[in-house]
Amino acid sequence: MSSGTALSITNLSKTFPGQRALSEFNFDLRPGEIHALVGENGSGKSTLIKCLSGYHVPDPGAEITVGDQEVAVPYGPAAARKHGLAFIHQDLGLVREMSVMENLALVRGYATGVGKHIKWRKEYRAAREMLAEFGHPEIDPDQLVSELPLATQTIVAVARALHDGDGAHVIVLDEPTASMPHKESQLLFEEVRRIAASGVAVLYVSHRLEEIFDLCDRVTAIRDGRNVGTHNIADLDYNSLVELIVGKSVTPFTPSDPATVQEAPAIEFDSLSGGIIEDASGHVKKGEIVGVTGLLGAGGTDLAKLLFGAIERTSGSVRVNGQLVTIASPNDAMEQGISFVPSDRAGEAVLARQSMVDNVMLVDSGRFFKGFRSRGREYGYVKKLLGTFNVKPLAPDQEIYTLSGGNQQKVVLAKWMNLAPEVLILDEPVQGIDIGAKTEVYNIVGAAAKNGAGVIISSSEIEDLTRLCHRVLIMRDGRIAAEVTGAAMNRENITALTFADEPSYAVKGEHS
Amino acid sequence: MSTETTATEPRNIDTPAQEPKTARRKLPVGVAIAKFGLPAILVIEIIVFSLLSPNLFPTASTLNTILINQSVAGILAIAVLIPLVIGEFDLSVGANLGVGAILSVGLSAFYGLPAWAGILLAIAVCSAIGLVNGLLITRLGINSFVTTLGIQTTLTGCVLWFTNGNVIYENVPPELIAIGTGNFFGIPLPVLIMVIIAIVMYYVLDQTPLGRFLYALGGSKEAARLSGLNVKTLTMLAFVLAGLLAGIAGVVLSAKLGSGNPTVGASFLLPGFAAVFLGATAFRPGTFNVLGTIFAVFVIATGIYGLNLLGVPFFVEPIFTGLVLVAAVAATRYLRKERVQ
Repeated sequence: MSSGTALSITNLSKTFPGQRALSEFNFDLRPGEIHALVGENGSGKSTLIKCLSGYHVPDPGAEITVGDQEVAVPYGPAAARKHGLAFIHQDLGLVREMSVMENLALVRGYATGVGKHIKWRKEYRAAREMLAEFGHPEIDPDQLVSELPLATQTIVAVARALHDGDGAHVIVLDEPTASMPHKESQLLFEEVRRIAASGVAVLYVSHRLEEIFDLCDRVTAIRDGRNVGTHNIADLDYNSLVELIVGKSVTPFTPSDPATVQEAPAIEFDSLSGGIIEDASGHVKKGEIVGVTGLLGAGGTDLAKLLFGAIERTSGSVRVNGQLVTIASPNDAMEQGISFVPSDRAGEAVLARQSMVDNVMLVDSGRFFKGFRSRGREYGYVKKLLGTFNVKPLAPDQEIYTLSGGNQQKVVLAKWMNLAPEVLILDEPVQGIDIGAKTEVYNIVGAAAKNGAGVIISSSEIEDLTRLCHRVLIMRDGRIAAEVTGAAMNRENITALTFADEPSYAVKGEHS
Repeated sequence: MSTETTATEPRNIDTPAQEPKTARRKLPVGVAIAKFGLPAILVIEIIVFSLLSPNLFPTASTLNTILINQSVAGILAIAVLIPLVIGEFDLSVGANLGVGAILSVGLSAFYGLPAWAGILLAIAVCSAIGLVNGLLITRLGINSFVTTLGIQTTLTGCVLWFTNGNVIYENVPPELIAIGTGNFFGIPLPVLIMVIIAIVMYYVLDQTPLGRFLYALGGSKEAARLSGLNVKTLTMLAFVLAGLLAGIAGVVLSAKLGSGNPTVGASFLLPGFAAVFLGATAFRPGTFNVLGTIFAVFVIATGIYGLNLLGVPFFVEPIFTGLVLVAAVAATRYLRKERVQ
């Protein structure tokens, strides 16, 4: 590995019809450093990565040097790999239903014998050796990728990328921890530090600013397609980093106000079981915001879905406004004034190919129905509604998938807040959305509580919960293991509680 | 029409492949043209064939022939459409049409039932077959493609069993034939029935909350469920409606032919799909819709009729239909892509 720079980009621009996504971007990476790339959705981050990976053809005039070699621009994905640029995208690019060994072989090529038959035993040994060499002899080459924890999957993808060809000079990790629980992230960070120590330059893309302070040496912010500054991470604090990203100081979201909590409970549940939830009891008062957190698969999502009737209840009872109610389906829950914002936006929360009007009106379809649908009135109504939620662009007949994640989430919130819920349940509501939208989402939640709704928010953003909530429940293995409030409601304490007495840590692709 | 959301995919994947746009994009020209492409093609076909064949094509008898002949195809295409709206396939509607066709004749001809009873019973049986499809799909969780493929084959066998493979010519009730040959203020009854069904289904799908729910299922079953919809009931409803319409199409077919034909049903299936996919390029591009489907039926039929008048051989018809199906699906994909960009 050479000294100096591992990657140098000069004058990189990319123009799409009607839009300049990257403007004269200059940037360099040193060997052995972990360099964060931060920016809001739409800032040009993905475009930059796609230009580097050879997916986009940049505008003429760009110069890219990898190691000592100048790379002829434009180049394709194969050339990028050949020059030692490795990319790990959020979906990892692994075939989940194939074994680790086969995933490795897909890129390296299979060990074949006469007639191109695959020599499985040789293949197995090669995979085993490679993983051991990479410092992970514990990974079984025969195991299906889908059975591994996400962090291990990421490690496999990284190992595969680094062993591709002559080895990589630069590895780009694109939001590797976006859906990873805290402990798994720590595992991955160790790996990233090890790789960097071996001389590879790591470009680390993330929305999670806390981990950038933990992990990275330098940080570059991108805004409106321009490099707005590269800094040593030690020279920045949280607020100055946010300011760099957003371009102005961001008003942090309004913290919880003890005065909004009323005496009467909005929802009470007793000995509730179903899904992985066992024997959960608790309540949320009107105007109260209760956080639920825990490791992935600890039960936050299941508790939320159970209360909404989306998971079958096997025992226990629920009271809404003091009345014993039967909630056997989401429809039952909605009739009781419960709204639920699911975590998996693309799969569970939106009808991607339908308009914002259709998405919002789906749960309020009777409003303007008088024998015929009044599209004009629906449009006007939804436009007004989405305006109050600051959705951009405010074009309600546009299909929802064309919006950024943050704006999609605001439409989903508008859809449910439109029903004036007495109980609002949210599951990972800020997952994958940028800082500005995050503040807006939290303020919407705060406003709902102020208006008297009982709010349950399941989230892995512990720091945010301590500010947003009146109380936080900690889930372990499907049980409510602890409850914190007041001074005990701090990040260190809650993090410790998520791990307490859990000797066998095994996450097996658990989902909802 | 990919509607499946698998639980195995990693979390937190946002749909846009690119950096999201903030400004409202204009409708691409291609999409804008496609919106009224089908009516335009129909007009062009009429002009071209009228010029090429001025004596035979632009006549009242041509209009009548095409309308009456396509009334069954039109009804069946709507039967294909409804499950597609919720993101499911019903491959059994063609064979189910055959059931309706032979029962509406056979129950009277073999068992002496009054014509009206035979007709109603036939339609009821076809609806029940739709219900069975719906139950198999929602209760046993078999995918709709496989379920309806199996049911389709089974029904084809049952129809041959019932008729012994013969066309039922004798004792066809005259009331049934009257439906096929009668008219209402000059509008042939089969055409009238198709138009009424098209209007009702347009109303249901486009104007009512129920229609919105069905399209929501087509968008994402899980999102629909978490929005309080009863996905199973709605799925069954869609298949029952498909069965009901296939039954009506079968009755109209027998009424038109004046006989019960056990082999003709399946031949309506593929043109039905072709029409629905072609229809999805128009009016609401990228979305299955009634108006587009009906126009597509007549665009295809007019094309074939015109080509026949010009003397092209008999085998051109399936070639034409098949190519239209592929071209329509390709066009739909292209339009969607264009909108993704």
